[in-house]
Amino acid sequence: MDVLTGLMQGFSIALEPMNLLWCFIGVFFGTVVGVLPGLGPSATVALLLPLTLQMNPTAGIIMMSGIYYGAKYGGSTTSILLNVPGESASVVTCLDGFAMARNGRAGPALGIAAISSFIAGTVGVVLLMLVAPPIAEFALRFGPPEYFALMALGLSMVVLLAGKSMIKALLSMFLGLWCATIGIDLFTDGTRFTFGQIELMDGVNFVVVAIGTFAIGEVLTNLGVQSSGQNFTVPKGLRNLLPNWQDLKDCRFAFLNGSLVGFFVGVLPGAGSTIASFVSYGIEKAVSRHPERFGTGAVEGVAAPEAANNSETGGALVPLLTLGIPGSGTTAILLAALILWGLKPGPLLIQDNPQMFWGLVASMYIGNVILLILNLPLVPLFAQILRLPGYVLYPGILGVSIIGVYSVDQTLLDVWLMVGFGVLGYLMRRLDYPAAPLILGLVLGDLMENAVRQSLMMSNGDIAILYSRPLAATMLLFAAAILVGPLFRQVNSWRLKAAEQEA
Amino acid sequence: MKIRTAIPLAAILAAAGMVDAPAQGFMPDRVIEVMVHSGPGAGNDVFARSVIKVLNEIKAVPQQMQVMNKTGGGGLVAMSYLSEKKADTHLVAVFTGVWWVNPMIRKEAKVTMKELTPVARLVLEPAVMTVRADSPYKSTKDFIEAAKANPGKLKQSGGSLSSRDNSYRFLLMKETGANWQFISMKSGGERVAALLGGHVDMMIMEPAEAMEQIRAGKVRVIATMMNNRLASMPDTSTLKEQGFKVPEVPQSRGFVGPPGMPANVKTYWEGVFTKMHQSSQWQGFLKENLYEDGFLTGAGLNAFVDEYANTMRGILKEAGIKIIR
Amino acid sequence: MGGWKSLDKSELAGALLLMAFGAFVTVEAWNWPYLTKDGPGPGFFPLWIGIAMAGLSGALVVLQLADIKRGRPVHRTSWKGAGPVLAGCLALIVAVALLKPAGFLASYVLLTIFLVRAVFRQSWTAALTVSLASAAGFWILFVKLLRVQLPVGPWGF
Repeated sequence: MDVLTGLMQGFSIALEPMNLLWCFIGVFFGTVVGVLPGLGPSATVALLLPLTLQMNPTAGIIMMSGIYYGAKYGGSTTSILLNVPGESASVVTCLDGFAMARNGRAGPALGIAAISSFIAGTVGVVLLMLVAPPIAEFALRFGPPEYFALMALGLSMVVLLAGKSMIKALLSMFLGLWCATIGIDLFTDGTRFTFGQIELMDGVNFVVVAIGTFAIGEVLTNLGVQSSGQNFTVPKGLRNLLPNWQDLKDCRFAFLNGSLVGFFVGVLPGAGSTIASFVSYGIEKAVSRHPERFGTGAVEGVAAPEAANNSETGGALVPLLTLGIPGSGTTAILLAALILWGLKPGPLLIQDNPQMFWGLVASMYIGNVILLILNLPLVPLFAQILRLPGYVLYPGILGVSIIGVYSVDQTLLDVWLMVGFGVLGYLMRRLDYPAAPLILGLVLGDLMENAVRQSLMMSNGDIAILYSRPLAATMLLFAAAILVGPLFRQVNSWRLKAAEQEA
Repeated sequence: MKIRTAIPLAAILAAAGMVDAPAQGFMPDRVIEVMVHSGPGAGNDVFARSVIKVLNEIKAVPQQMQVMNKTGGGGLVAMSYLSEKKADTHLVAVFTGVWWVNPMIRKEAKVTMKELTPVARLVLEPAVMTVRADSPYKSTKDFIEAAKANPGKLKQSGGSLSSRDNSYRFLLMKETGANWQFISMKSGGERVAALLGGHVDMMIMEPAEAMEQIRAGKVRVIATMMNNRLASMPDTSTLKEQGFKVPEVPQSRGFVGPPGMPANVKTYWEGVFTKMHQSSQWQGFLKENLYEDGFLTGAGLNAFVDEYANTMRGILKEAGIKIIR
Repeated sequence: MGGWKSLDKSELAGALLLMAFGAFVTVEAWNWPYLTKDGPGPGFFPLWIGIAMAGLSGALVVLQLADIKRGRPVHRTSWKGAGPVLAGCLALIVAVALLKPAGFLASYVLLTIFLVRAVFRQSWTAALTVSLASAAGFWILFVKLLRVQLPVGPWGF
């Protein structure tokens, strides 16, 4: 079935009243879930699985995908307003998004997040529709050495997240890398740093660390600021509550960068939207003419990661629908749903069920439009949250955080760890250690170590496998360029300073 | 009573009669939790939901059954949780092979299958050896010969060292003297992707996983690891037929209850699963998902619990994995 | 050496803590296989992580001393407001400890009342309104609507 016919058929299915309703319910639910820290789309989709099994598969998958990409829209809200990531991938949005809110530009930040999400979400669907099978084949060429190179590229971003002290950023990153080693070693079945606790055998959950460091850390910091009054200035007037033309112009590259990076990283099984957000943020900063603006409220710093985490959903659906391989946690649940409906996920899924595929694709276009319409007018409403006095807001954040963290595995240990990381987050702020590298290390550490060891097993110990394959080598070169750039600048500035002192 | 009311009333009474109450009178009166040791979407989770689906279709259980995911430690967290809930009559869990293996190899484990109350074994999962469709190996013999000619060069993707894939690898290597690499990968998706992408040469997978890839022509099955040929793959010879004397390593799934489960509760569940086993919906499910019917309760099940523990202990010990208990 | 005295005490403490932590990680990793026949073992990465952390924290102190010597600006830690933070932190710890015995809603209400009264210094009315209203909101949204499982106390919620 060729694209145009398929798409037309898809729209006729997606625009059926029931399917439209399920799409709306899905994206709405997704947005709500995304806004709430801790509760992620995978938990919600899992929760609704029994319900969706009663529906027909097309409607069901429309709704569940709606929750999936809807959550990516909502995740930026609390990231921007409160420095609390609503969804794991939104951690990167906290960096510049929250800074923008502090500068009184919460509205434009939220608006850009919504617009960026819309553009990237749509690009993701277009790519899914047009190039899914060939991209899937290409992605299969990514073996452990290529994953290693990608992770190295991601880790090299630490240089761009460093801020004033590179050493502190590196220390933060190593701490994150250490956290990633906690748990059972995949290759030898030995336990590392689990202190005898069974709950630690699967490692420290990312949500626990992110919410602890960011949310609890933020609350603790603010307790010290005696704020019982308003937090930030919320400018009145709609013009200040939405991004202006200059903002949109500045973000042109970010939209492209985020959409493509996000989609492609999403296609790789195992790599998640957090990695996509970090990489696109890093690329944006690396090519920017004013990199020092990042971290202080650069609007591209919001647009790029938000785009990346939205087009990632389109990407993650590629291996699921073209090969029957889930690309992420949420797509694994979608896979389960497909199985339970009696459909057979695999390379022939689209061929055997063209209506479902095209109906889904069409509904994703519609869903993204609905989300844009839902989210943009909500911006002024959400921005009002900043009006809430601290004594209402901060206990509330604590409550939602505890709920969010506990909902992951129903283990009290997770909540304790959250508190621990919260204290750590507070101390890091006092001592001026950046938190983003910690998250980066945690997310990438596991994948990177596994990739290295798998690669060396494949080559029987020959290190050349890591840099000799063309795809891997290209990415490693990029990583090297990113690392060398600022180092070069730093050495240069030292030289200049030394020259000054001589004179 | 008017005849108009009598007929519907009679129908209702007749329908009620179709749900037999067990002799000793245990009847669930609130939501039943079905605990699964993996996350939502994983194999166990899907299995549990499928069972619930069939039970709902045949109306075997009058209360709602809800899946509860308790991940961690390869099942250890779930087992530990189950062991703490002695008095809970509305909690059952899905067990798989790791419920035996992990307590054997991990000192942190607090409970083993012997202390819990196995209720019913439901399915046995077969395993098949697969290679890419364009690979030169048409049978296990080809693969083994190539492995012998290139020791340590061929690669198999799989799970952890104590997983069934590695157990089979170990048994085959021991039997034939061949040697090939085992590349552990975290998720099934990664393993299949590694095979399809040519990064590894062989993978042992479950027929359900393999079926779709076979249908699409991407993967070739070169042997069945079971004692008998599979009904779904009648043309695939078994390892035994190909001349390899490798025992079957069963992978089972079933239901287990907390320690000290009251006798009437156990009887109730045995009854429920027996009924399910006899239903056409369940048989259809088995066929669709290429499971082998492994229904076993009572004394047979208890014997299996011990047998399986001994088999696995033996295999793991030989593979050089440290056994704690 | 004069520089030591003007080092920010908290910075030094932080660096020393990280150094000690790095040493701990290195020692633990020493016990695990460094290399196996197939490549790096479980001890390989943690070992280097530990060494890196210990080394970097040392370098941090050295660089800060150098900065002070050259008269360059150094980060001064401000512990302003640490009192309320400590109080809030302790309250949070107590609340988490109460989660299992008292259930989420009760612990949350107590925590909020404490924070609003003692830390934010608002009236009893404010404390009670905020805590009860938000607790009710959480219950409706999370327990009833989203069916999230939360710790429940002996009183059923």
